[in-house]
Amino acid sequence: MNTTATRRMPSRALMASLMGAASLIGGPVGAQGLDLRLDTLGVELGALPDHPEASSMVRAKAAVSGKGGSGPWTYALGARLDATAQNGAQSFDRVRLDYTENYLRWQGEQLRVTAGTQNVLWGRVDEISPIDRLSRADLTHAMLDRLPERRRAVPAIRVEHMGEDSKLDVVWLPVFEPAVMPHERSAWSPVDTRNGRLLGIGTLPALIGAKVQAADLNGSGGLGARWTVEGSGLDYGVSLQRARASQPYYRVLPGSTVVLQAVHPISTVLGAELETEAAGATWRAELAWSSANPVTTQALQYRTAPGLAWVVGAEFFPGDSETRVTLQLAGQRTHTSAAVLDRTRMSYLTGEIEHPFAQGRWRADLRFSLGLDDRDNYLNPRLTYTGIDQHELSVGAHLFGGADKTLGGYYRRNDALTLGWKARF
Amino acid sequence: MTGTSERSNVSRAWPRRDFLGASAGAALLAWGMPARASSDGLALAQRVYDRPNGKDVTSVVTMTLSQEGNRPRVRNMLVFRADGAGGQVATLIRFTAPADIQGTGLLTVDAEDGSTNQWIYLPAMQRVRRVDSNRQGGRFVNTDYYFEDLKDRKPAADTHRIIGREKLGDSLCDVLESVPVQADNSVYLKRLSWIDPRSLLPLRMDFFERQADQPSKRLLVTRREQIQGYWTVMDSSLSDLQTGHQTRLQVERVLYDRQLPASLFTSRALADERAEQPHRP
Repeated sequence: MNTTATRRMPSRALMASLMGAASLIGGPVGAQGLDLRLDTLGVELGALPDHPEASSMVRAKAAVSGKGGSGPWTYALGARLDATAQNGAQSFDRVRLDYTENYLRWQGEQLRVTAGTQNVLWGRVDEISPIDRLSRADLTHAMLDRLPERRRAVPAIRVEHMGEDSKLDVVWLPVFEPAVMPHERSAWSPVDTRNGRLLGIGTLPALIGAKVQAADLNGSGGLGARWTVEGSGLDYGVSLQRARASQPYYRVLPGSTVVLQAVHPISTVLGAELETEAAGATWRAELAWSSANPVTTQALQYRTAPGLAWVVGAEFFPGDSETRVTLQLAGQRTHTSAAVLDRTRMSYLTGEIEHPFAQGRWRADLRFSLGLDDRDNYLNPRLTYTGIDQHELSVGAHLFGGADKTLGGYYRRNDALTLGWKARF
Repeated sequence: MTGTSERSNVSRAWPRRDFLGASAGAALLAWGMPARASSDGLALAQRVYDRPNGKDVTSVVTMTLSQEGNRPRVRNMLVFRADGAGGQVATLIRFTAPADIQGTGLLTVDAEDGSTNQWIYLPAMQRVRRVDSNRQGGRFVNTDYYFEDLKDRKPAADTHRIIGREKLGDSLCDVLESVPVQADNSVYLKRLSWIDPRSLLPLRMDFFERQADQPSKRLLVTRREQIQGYWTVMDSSLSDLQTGHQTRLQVERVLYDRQLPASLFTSRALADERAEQPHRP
C-alpha cells in the first residue's frame, strides 16, 4: 500500500486562512458570543466492483467551525479534515487538513466587508453553474457529492453593498488557490497515465507513462463583481469576472517523456442569471460567455478559445406533492475553427428527484446527468434514513457510462455502491 | 410577558395571522340549529382575520413531531412577523436546533393583492433560493402543516357559514364552516373552526381534504394567553387523523410591537443569521 498520509495544510492556504484569523488578535472581537459547531462528521464506504485497480474506498470527513463577534464585527474560524483510503492494486491513503471559513467581517447598515477565507458560490442552478468561477473546486471524488459539497472556501477580500432590493458583490482573490485534487492513484483522478486517459480528451496512447506536473501557482486568483436584483416574482443579476480557473486543464508537452502540465487559464466571464416562478415551477437560468476555454489541438498544441455556457432549470413538485423534481438543460460550446481533441459542443439533461416518505424519516432520491450529444450517463440513486435527529444513514449507487471523451465514459469503470453515515452537532 | 392564562381542551397554535385567517369556517347541521346567513359567517371570519395581533410579533417556538412507535423529533425556531405598508405581511422563520437544520430560514412576503413571494435559505447550499409560493400541498419541514397553512388567506377566499355553537372547555364557540370560493386554490374541501368569542381564536379546526364528512387533520389549542393585551396561542397540536402523526407547537416566549425593522424581512437577513441577532428575544 502506498501510504502518503499527507498531513498537509498547504502553506499558501494556511497563510490565506490566517489572513482573517490573524487580524482578530488584538482586534475588536473577543471570544464573546463564540458559537462552536461540529459542522460535519461522516464516513462513507464504497465498493468499486468493476474497477480493475481499485476494489473499495473509504472516506471520512470532520469539519469544525466557530463564529462570534461584537457590534459590527464578526469573525469565523474553521477547519476540516478529510481522510481517504483506496484498496486494490492502486491503493493509497491520505489525510488532508484544510481551511474552511476564517474571516473577519465588518457590517454596516448597507455595507459588508469580509477579509479571509470564505465561501463564494455564485449562481442559482443546482449542478452546473456557469457563473460560479471564483470558488475553489473539490474534485477529490468527481461529482459524487452535490455541488455545494464540491466547493471550498477561498482566500478573498469581499465587499457587499445591499440596496433595498439589490446587492452589489465585489470579490477579489489576492492569492490563487487551485482545486483540491484526488490522490494521483485515486480512481477519481482526471488523469490516468497507466492507461493513457485524460478526462475530456479520452484515450491517447502517448499519455501512457506521462509525467504530471503541477501548475505554477503564483499570482492572484482574480476578481469579480455581481449585481443582483430581487423583485416581485423575478430575481435577476449580471456579473463580470476576470478569474483563474481552479480546476486544472492538462497541457500536453510532447517529448521523450510526455509531460502533462497542469494549467489554470485566466478568462474574462460575462454572466447573466434569473430566477422566477411560472406554470407551477421555479425557473432558474444562467448564461456565461468566457473569453478563454482551454483546448488541445490534434497536433497537441494548447490553445484557448471563447465559449458560451448556459443552463435553464426548473424545480417543481408534481401534483403539489412532497416529491421534489429539479431538471436542468445545460449546454456548452467552445468557438474554435481548429481541429481539437476536446468536445466543443456539449449538452446535458441533469436533475434530481427527491421523495421523502414515512413523515420525512426516509428519503429516496435519484440524481442523474444524461448527455444529449454523445452517450454520457451518470445515475445516483440513494436511500437515506433521517429518523434520528442530526444523523443521516444512506445507501446508494453511482453508475457511469458513455463515450470515450465524456465524463460518464471516463469513469465507466467506477460504478460504486456506497454506505454512509453523516452527522452534525 | 404578562396576562391571563387559560386552558381549554382544544385550540390552535401557529403564530402567523395567516393561519388564523384561514380558520374562518362554518359547520355542518349536526349541531341541531339552523345555519345562520353567510353574511354572519363572513363577518365572523373577518373579525377573526382582523383580530388585533400587533404590528409585529417575535416568537420562540418549540416544535415536536411525534408518532406512536417512533422517537419524537424536536425542532426549535424563531418566528418574526410584521405588518408592512399597504397590507403586506412578512414572516421570517429561522430554525435554531437541532444542528442538522440549524440556520435554515424561510422568508414569506404576502402582498395585499394575495400574491406571495417566498425564499428559502439552506446553510448547506449557502444560497438564498426562490421557492414556489403557489405551493399548497406538501408538508412544511415534515410537519403536519401544509405550505398553504402558513400563508395569509384572506376571508374573501372562502364562503363562510356559522353552522352552530358548541362548548369547548369553558368557551361557547361559534362553529364556522369555510369552503374555498375556487376549489383549486386550496388543498382542503372545507374547514370547520370553533371560534372562541372572547379571544376570536379558533380553539379547534377540522380540515377536510378528500371527504366532506370526514376530517383528515385536526388542530387543538390547549393553552392560550393574553400577552401585552393580545390573545396568543401558546400550545397547540395538529394531528393527522389517519396516521396519528402529530405536530405540537409550544410558544416559549412571545413579544409584540418591538418595531422590527423592514430590513429583517429581506433576503440579506435571510442569508445572514447574525443579522437578526439584535432582534432575538
